[in-house]
Amino acid sequence: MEWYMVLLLIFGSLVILMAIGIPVAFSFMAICVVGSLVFWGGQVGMEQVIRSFFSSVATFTFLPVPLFILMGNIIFESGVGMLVVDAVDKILGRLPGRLSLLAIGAGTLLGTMIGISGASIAILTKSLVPEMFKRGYKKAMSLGPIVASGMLAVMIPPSAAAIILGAIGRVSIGKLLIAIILPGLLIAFFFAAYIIVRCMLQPSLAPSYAAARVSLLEKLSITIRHILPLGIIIFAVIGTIYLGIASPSEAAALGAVACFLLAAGHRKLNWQTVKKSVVSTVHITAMVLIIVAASISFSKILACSGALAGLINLATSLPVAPIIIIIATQLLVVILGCFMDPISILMITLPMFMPIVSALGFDTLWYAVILMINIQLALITPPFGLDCYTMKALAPPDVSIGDVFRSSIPLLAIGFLAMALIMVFPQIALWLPSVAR
Amino acid sequence: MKVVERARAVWDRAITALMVLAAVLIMADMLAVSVTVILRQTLGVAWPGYFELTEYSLLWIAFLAAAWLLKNDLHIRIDMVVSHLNPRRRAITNIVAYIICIILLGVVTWYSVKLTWHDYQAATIVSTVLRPLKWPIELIIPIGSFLLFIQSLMKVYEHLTSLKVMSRGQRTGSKL
Repeated sequence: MEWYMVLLLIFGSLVILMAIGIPVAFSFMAICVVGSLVFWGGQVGMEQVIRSFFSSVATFTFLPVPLFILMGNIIFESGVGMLVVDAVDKILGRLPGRLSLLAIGAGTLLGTMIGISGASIAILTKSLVPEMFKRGYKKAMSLGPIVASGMLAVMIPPSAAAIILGAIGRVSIGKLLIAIILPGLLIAFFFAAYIIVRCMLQPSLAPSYAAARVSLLEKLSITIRHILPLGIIIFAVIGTIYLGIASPSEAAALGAVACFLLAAGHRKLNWQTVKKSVVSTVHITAMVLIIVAASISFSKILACSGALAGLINLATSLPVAPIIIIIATQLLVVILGCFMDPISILMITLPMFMPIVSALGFDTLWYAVILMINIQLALITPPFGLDCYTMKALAPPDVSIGDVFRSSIPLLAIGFLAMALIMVFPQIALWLPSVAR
Repeated sequence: MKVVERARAVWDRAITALMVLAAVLIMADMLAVSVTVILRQTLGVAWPGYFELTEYSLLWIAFLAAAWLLKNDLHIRIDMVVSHLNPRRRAITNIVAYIICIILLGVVTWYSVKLTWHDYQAATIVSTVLRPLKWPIELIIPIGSFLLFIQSLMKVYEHLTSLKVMSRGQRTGSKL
C-alpha cells in the first residue's frame, strides 16, 4: 500500500474514533492495537505497545506536568491569585482601559505561578468582570483581555504545555521553558498596547474612572507583601533552571513547594484547599499521561508504517520554499484548533511535524515556541475554544459564548501577529536560551 | 437490584480510593524531589536513585486514576459530532463507543497480564541505578486497564438504561 493511503487510513480511523465520542486516549490506543497487529506482527507488536506505555510515561521528563498543574491549582484554590490581582489593582494608576490593563498585568504575574490557562482565566473572570461591568466597560474590552490573558499563563513559565511539547517533540524542556519567556512578555506588551490605543480611540469602550487613592507607603507595603514573594516562585522555577541549579523537573517540585509556602504565608492554606488542588491535579495529570502513553506508541506505529518517511520525503522534495511548508503546518494547527483541544493537537501533529522541521533544517526550539503560541490561540478560536467556555461558565449570566468569542478576535489577531514576528525574527525565541547556563 | 447498587457503591469507593493514592504519590514526588535538591545543594548529599522512583510513580498515577476519570467523564473527548445528535442517537453512539473501548481494553488487559506474568517468571530487572524487578512496577498497567474495562462495561449499562427510559417515555407519550 502507498504511504499516503496508509497515512489516510491511520488518520481517517483516528478522526472517526474521536468523532463518535471515544476518549482521545483510547482512540490513540485503538489505532496502536490495530497498527501493532498490521505493522509489528501481532502478539510481538502488542507486547511492544504495552512496553511503550511503560517507557513513555515512566520518565523523569514528565514530572513537571503534575507539579506545574499543582502550582496553578494551589494558587487558584487558596485565593493567592486574587491577592495578586488586588495588589496590581492598587498599584496601577489612572490609565486608559485601566481594568483591562489590570487583567493583562495580573495575567502576566499569575503566569509566573500558574502553568495552565484555565486557572488564570477563572481568577481574573471572578475578580474583574463584575467590576468591569459595574464601571461600564463594554464586553470587547472586558471579556477579550481576560480570555486572552489565559495565554500568558502558558507562555510564561511554569507551563505544563511546554513540558508535553518538549517531551513529545524531543526539544530540550529547560531551553523551551526559557525560550517562551520573551515571546510571552512580547504578547503581553502587544495586548497592553492594543488596549491603550483602542481605549484612546474609543473611550466609550472603557469609561475612565477615578481609582481609589492609594498612598505611596501603602503601595510599597502591598508590593512587599503580595508582589515580591512571587520572586521566590520565579526563582524556584526559572532561576534554578537558568543558573543550572536544578533540572526542569526539580525546578517544578521546588516551585510547587514555594506555592504551598506562599499560600501558607498568606494564611490561606487549609485542608479543603489542599484537597481540591490535589484532586484537580490528579484529574489533569492522569488524563494527560494516559494520552501521552497511547500517543507515543501511535507515533512509533506511524514511523514503522512508512507513512512518516513518505511525508518527510514529500515535504523536502516539494518545489516551494521550506518556510512555506512551516507556514502550512501552522495553518493546519490553526484549523485543528477550531475543533480540538491543545493536547490532542500536539499528540497528532508533533510526530509528523517535528521530523519534517528537522529535515527542512529549521531549529526545532524555534518551531516549538511558534507551535506553543498557536495551540494556545486554539483555546480562544471559535467554535470550540475551551478557554472561552471556561470564561462563559464563570461570567455573569448575560454574557453569551458569542460575546466571548467576538471580544477575543482582536487579541487572537495579535497572537497571530506575534507568531509571524517570531517566524521572521527567530532571535526573539532563541536569544534567551542561548545565554542561559 | 439492591445487590447491584451495593456493588456499584463499593466499586465507586474503590476507584476513588485509588485516585486518592495517585494524589498521595504526587505529593510524595513533590516532597522527595525538593528535599533531594535541597540536600544536594546544601550538604552535597546526592542519591541518584530518587528520580527513578518518581518515574515509576508517574506510571502508577496515570493508571490508578484512569478508571475514576472514566467514571466521571473526565477523559478528553471530542464531542462536536455527538453533542449535535438527539438524545436517543447520542445514547446509541455512546454505547457503540464504549463497546469499542471494552474490546480495546480487554485486549490491552490480556496482553499486559501476559507481559507482566512473563516478567514475573523471568524475574526481569529494569537496567537502571536501582535495578528493581520490573513486574511490580508494570503491574499497574493490567490493573488499570482492567478497571477501565469494568468501568466501560458500566458505562454501556448506564447508556442502555437511559435508552430504555427514553423508549419507555416515548411509548408513554405516544399512548397519551
